[in-house]
Amino acid sequence: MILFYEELCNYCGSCVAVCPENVINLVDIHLSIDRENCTDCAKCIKGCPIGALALERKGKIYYPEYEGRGLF
Amino acid sequence: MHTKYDVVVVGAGPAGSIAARTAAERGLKTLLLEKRQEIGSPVRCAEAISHETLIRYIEPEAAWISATVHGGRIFSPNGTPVVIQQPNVGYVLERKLFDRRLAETAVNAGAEVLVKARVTGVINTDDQICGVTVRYHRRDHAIQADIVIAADGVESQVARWAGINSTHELRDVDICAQYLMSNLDPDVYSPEYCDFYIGRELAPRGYVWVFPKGPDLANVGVGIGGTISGRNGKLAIDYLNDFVRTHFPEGRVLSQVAGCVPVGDSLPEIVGNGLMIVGDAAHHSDPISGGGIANAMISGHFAAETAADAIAAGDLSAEFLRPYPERWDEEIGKNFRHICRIRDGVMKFSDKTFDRCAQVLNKLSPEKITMREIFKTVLLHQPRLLLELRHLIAPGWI
Repeated sequence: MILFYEELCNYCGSCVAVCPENVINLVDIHLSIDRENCTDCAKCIKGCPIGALALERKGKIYYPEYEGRGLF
Repeated sequence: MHTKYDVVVVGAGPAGSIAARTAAERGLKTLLLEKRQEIGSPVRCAEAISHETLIRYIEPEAAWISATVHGGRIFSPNGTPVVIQQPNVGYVLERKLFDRRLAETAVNAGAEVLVKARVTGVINTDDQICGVTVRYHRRDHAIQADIVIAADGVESQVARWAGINSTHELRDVDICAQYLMSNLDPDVYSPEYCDFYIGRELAPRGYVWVFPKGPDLANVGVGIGGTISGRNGKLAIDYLNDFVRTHFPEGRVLSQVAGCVPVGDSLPEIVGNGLMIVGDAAHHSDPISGGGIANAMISGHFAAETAADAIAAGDLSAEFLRPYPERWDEEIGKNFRHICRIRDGVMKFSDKTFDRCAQVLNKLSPEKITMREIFKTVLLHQPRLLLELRHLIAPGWI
């Protein structure tokens, strides 16, 4: 399942642009994922410039972690 | 708002506004729809455009120009700058105001514009797109149109609703993050030049840009290849932060921008029955620079002219709308394939090769350093690519 961290999202639509199933719906500053039709391909995670998306599979969370994320 | 228009344009970015303006100038009853409350916001752009392409559509005005650009500096991976001197070559815009001004010119030409009007679907009757459904002030409206022009950006939905797969493959996009920054080190930042930094460490399959917005204000951004994004957990924002730490450690971030830029070939299908796709929605940004404003305006303009011809002739079929993709291909699109091939070849170069190119170029006298010379020098390292270059030089592309 794709996880969405709203606090990070810039609402730029990159995830929508690369989603092959078109299951991400972006309206202004509201993003929702139609999880029933999502195939968990995770392209949206690569498409997100700022790490607002992650994948949960079998209880494990795959989140693109990088040491030194953020400037603070 | 009426219920029937000649042309409905979805999205009030540069492509949409120029399309609406052109349609209105041709005497068509035109409606321009913007889902956001404010045209031009939020910005998802590095905001640079050349003087030459800008003046095709609008005279420069101080109100929406942040800085005038007098050339470019390309920094090779070891930090060697190659400087291209081009006085008054272009501008870095204030997109928020620029986009609104373009929409204003569409309105002045006679187009209607609606903001906070979200298109929720297309009206498809017997394989003919004949309008859109719009959510506006808590009500759903059906608006008939002879032609629907989809200018709804990189995340285009209109094309998908009409059955055209406009999804971007990861290999055909650059994933981008950008800060608007101040407190910039004057030894690193120049308000005169657009700076480009290349290198596998800095920005794999992309580049870092520092575009001037003022004496101590710049768009500092990075684009990386979509297939590389997320590798070792590293995203565009991480590349950006790494660059900022090394180049502008004292810099202050005033705004954060994210987005993705099409850097592949144009969408193969940009017309349907009653439908035309323009700008980023049609994957029309430049495959090397990622620049999209100029191409968006050009495609919006071409599309609306064809729309006017089709409406005058009473034939709204995809077949009759063909002149738009043909004209696009003739003027811009056909070069994309060569550019893509060159880019794919150049991307295989090592950082050392780029450093060597910079060294070679810096032996030339400054006025001899041009984009063409740079391309030639770089491509000499892979002569096969020089053949591609011929296709671009002949029509004056570079």
